[in-house]
Amino acid sequence: MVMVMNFIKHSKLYFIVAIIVVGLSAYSLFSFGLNLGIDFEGGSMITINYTSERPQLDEIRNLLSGIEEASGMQVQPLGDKEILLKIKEKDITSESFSKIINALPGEFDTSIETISPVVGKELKDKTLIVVLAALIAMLAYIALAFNSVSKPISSIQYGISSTLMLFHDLIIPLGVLAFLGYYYDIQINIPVITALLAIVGYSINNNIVIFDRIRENLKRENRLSYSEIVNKSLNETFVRCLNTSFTVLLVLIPLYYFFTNEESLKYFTLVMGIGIFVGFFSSIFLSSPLLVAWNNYKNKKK
Amino acid sequence: MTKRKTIFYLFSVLILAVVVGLFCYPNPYNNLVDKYNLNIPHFPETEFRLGLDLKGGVHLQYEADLSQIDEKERDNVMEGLKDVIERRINIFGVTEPVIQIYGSDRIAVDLPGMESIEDAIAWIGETPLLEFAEERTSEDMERINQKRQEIQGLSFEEMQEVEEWYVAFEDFYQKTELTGRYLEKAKLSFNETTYAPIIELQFDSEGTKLFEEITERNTGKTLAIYLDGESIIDMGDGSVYAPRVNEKISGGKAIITGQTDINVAKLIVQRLNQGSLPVPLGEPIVQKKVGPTLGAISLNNAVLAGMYGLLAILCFLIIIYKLPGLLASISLIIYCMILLALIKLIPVTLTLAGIGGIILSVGMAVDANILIFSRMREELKQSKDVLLSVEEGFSRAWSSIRDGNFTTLIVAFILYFLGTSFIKAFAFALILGILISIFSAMVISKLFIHVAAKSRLGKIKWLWS
Repeated sequence: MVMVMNFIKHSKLYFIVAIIVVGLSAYSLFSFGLNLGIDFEGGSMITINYTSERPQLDEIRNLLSGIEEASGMQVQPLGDKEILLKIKEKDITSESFSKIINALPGEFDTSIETISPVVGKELKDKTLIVVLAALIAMLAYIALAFNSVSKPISSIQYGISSTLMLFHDLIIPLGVLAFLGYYYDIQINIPVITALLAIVGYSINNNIVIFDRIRENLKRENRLSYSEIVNKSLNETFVRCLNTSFTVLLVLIPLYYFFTNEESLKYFTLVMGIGIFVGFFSSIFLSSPLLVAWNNYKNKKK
Repeated sequence: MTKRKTIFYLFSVLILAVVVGLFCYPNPYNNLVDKYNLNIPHFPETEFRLGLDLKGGVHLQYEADLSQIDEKERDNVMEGLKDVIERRINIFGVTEPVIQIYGSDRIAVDLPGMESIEDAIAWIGETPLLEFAEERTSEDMERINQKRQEIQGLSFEEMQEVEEWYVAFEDFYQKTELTGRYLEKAKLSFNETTYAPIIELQFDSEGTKLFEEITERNTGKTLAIYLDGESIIDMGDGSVYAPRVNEKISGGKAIITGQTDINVAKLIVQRLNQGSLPVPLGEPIVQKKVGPTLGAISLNNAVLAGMYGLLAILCFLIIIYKLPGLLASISLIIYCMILLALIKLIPVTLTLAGIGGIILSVGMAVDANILIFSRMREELKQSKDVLLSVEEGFSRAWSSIRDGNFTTLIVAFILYFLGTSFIKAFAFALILGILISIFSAMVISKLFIHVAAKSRLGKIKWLWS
């Protein structure tokens, strides 16, 4: 069974879809902004895990409204046994914690996290540097690895195409996060950042596998046009990309399922899932077809 | 490869698998050894080292106020601070505390198993107590010595029968009024001719008076120095650090000679200064507490998630890639065991982030196998024979495996060196995982598949496509 798909034929359609989705994500990102968690903004969070039956949320809200230290705290349910108390940009002293915790009814175990805004700010700056450094290092590696390929398009163009794909693969999950952050108060914490970095890794990895195949086919096939070579390479790598993305999803599903009560990892898996999906799409339908479109444009101009 | 060589390699992999397997899970083996009284050594039953988020505990970060401290002294002060915190925590008996200085003025404290943030802050925040103690009278000392001899060799229960047994546990020293409050500072200097270290003490005006009285009545005797109720340094034989007073000292300046080890002298100076000049710590800038049940739930979930994820991947590999998939599954299991054994042996502290990194690296390890098998199939379609396709599959897939893993490694290294502790744990697990995954795909999988392709199985084409 030899199935040959034409990935290039409808590339205009894919480009339009991608532009619309990226546009929507950018709109969401800029209008809602990112809802950064206490890791980056500073603040406090108390997770209360009930060993007895969990009281009604309203009951807890009522109790807390009588305590000065708890003013401004959000009360959220988490899973079916836990409650989350959160406050941003304010670090609470250990005495206030005990006051709040002692006021709550029932039997429970607690986890507490308080980060001062100063530390949060530092982390924000540091994370930005780390992410930028990682991006630059990866792109430098691609440009080097594909240095030997120069016909018909240059290695820099491979680099630019993968950069655009990175942009695409990152802005969509970020847009979704901004949307979720605005409407459902889902906050960006450090695990989410690691998920974004993992997405970058997979995205680059996918592109490398495909570009690597194009590089090989360019050397072997002299009779085919560039567009045909790219399509052949995509056909040859399609199953691999699909299977790899699928196996990552296979791992993410149990992670998500078992960590529904662990905020940090839950959104890690959610973001990874979105990233793997859009990363698969971009590496097959966007990155290499973009190279073809570029090549065609150049030829037409001549 | 010759047949003999192949058998040798297979045997090596088998041994490797058994050894790492035993490192991960030594109990059944050890039980067997016990059951049949075999005369062979047990396998070490080390536990995984779990982070606070998995076993519960308190994590605190402090920012020391160094504004009053001279630029050159700051590193010393931080070391001193770390030392104080370490000693305090040891007194309260927390197992495996981790105290780290990071940045120029931050200190992080991990207290596993601790349940109250308030208590932890109270322990750490207290000013250390430096005390000077003089020898008891000779009658008292005689009495203590006598009791000590009386109870020698007795068990705890028998000991309690002895009259006034507790006297044996009294110190030879009794506290004086002189404490760290009266010590202005201590510093280290060196003898100009012998270069032997000298510890210099400077008392304030009140301290000068007290010190004069104490040295007067104790001339020729020793004066013990205690920090938080224990000898200021561990003398190694249970005795207390106690320099001899040679003469009455007025003027508030004293020197202690005779300490030959510079590092010990330095430590004493550092600790003398803690008693007198603690750096204000204030409220911690980060406080975290994970309850023990929440930690246990997380650990349980992480283990389950990892197992189901691995199982799903193995099923997927076998269904899609048949025989090579099965062989890769075996090498993937070996991969997991190697990874776990290394985590135990290094030892890496396992945190949720680290487990995330491990699970992600399993994904990467599978990717290498998928790349190879996809390639093998293509070659097989061009009706090459199985053995040749296997060779081609491995050699052609290598460049993508190399480039893909290399870029991920670059990112992981950047994360490791720049990241915070959470990201570091993730990155370290990822680096470890990637390195082992390359080994497992390019060495173990390759070996298995080679052997299978050469054997009679290699003739059955449907197993391979």
